[in-house]
Amino acid sequence: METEIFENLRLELRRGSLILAVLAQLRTEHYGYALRKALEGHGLAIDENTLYPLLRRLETQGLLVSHWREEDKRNKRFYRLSPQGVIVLYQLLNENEAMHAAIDRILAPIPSAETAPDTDPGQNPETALQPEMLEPKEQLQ
Amino acid sequence: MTTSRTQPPSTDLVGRYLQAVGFWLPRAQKQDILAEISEDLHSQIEDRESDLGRAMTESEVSDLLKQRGRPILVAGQFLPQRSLIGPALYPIYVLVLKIVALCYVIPWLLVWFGIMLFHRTQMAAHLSSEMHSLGTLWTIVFTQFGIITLVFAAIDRVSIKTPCVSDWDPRKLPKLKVETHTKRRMNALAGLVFGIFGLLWLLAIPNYPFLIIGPAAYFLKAAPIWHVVYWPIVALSIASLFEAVFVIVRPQLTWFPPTFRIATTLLSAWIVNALLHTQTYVLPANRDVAGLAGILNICILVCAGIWAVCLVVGLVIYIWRAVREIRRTVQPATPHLA
Repeated sequence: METEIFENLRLELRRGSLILAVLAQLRTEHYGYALRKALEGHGLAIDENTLYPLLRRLETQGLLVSHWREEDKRNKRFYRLSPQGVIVLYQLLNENEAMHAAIDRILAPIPSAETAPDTDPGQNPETALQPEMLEPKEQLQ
Repeated sequence: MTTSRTQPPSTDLVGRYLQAVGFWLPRAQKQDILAEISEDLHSQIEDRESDLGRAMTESEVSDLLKQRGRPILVAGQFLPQRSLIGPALYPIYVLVLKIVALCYVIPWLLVWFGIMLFHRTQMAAHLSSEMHSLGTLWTIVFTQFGIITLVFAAIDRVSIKTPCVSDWDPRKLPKLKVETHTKRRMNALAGLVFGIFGLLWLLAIPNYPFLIIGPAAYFLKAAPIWHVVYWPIVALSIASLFEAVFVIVRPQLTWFPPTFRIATTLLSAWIVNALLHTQTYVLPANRDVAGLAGILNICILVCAGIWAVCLVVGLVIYIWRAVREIRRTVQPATPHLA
């Protein structure tokens, strides 16, 4: 049950981040498969069944432009940010930054903040953020 | 890079897969979407074959497609995500369905169950007609639910075109319902006062029958059934006084009144059952008023029938309230305004 809840919340959290990542990656032109590989290379694997509908949706919203072009003897659809997409991307990045800053401020009073590791806490079980570190202050006292 | 595209197994399977996906796609975008999926699949196959250093087998291609997902689900991702009834109307839709279920389905089922019990001695003779009536009930239920769903879906479509979501005034919201202990006590006190008068009236009836049927008491007599149900009716009246006193003393125990009323409703059901089993409630003192007695008997029978239906509805409401209040008592942390 907890796993299911976590999985649902994780997907919800990822959804917005994926849009941001796709828009950011498409500052340079990519076709679908290359985009997927590029994102995967940056540590953000994205399912093809998620990516292609997302690309179409973003294009319909005017944030991306695309065209078919032959490359390596195959027709491929290349995507890149539209001028409107550039504006929206930077607005989203600012929003994302503000959100992260707010979360950092919310988490700041907990003891782990002083000893926060430089590396990605999710990668190292010894330094990863533990549930007990997030307990309310009243419970810690 | 290998020349996987020329390999029959992958080409054949991919082609069949794309055809299956295409079946679910809208015609206008079909070719475009399929071309893109095809390109992605072939790129993936090329990469895999490059890693393997050989062409992929049919089984490997099959696994790859299986991993991609069922064609209908893959196609579904490209279709607009639309709901029949949107989130703005959904709570009202559920409420209407609940009202229909509460006021129609549950009472009907209970009445049907009652009829089954009533006819239990002649089960074989009535079974087929009663089962038929139950089948009719479900047909009506599904029709009602279907019509409600279609109406709400239509409203949803119209409301999307004419956005009125922001057009509301918080000042027009209903006033906050605050049921304090004092208010509960005052209601119970009023019930107690009227209940005492009611009980006195009830106790006086055997000696002063005109209190219930007026001047007709001079030429109509009570039938023997009233000797059977009189004291249970008095007991009901006393029970209502007890409930009122309890609420005055312990108004915080909100689960008690509905729970207690379940018990009194069951006693009422027994009384109604007894009344419905007889069709003579008043007897004429002479032949001249036999017609009047007959009319009165029919009226009382009809009233008993209506009372039975009211009891069923009341029972459902009391059960629902009892469950709600007990849950609130069990989960005191849940905030509620009442």
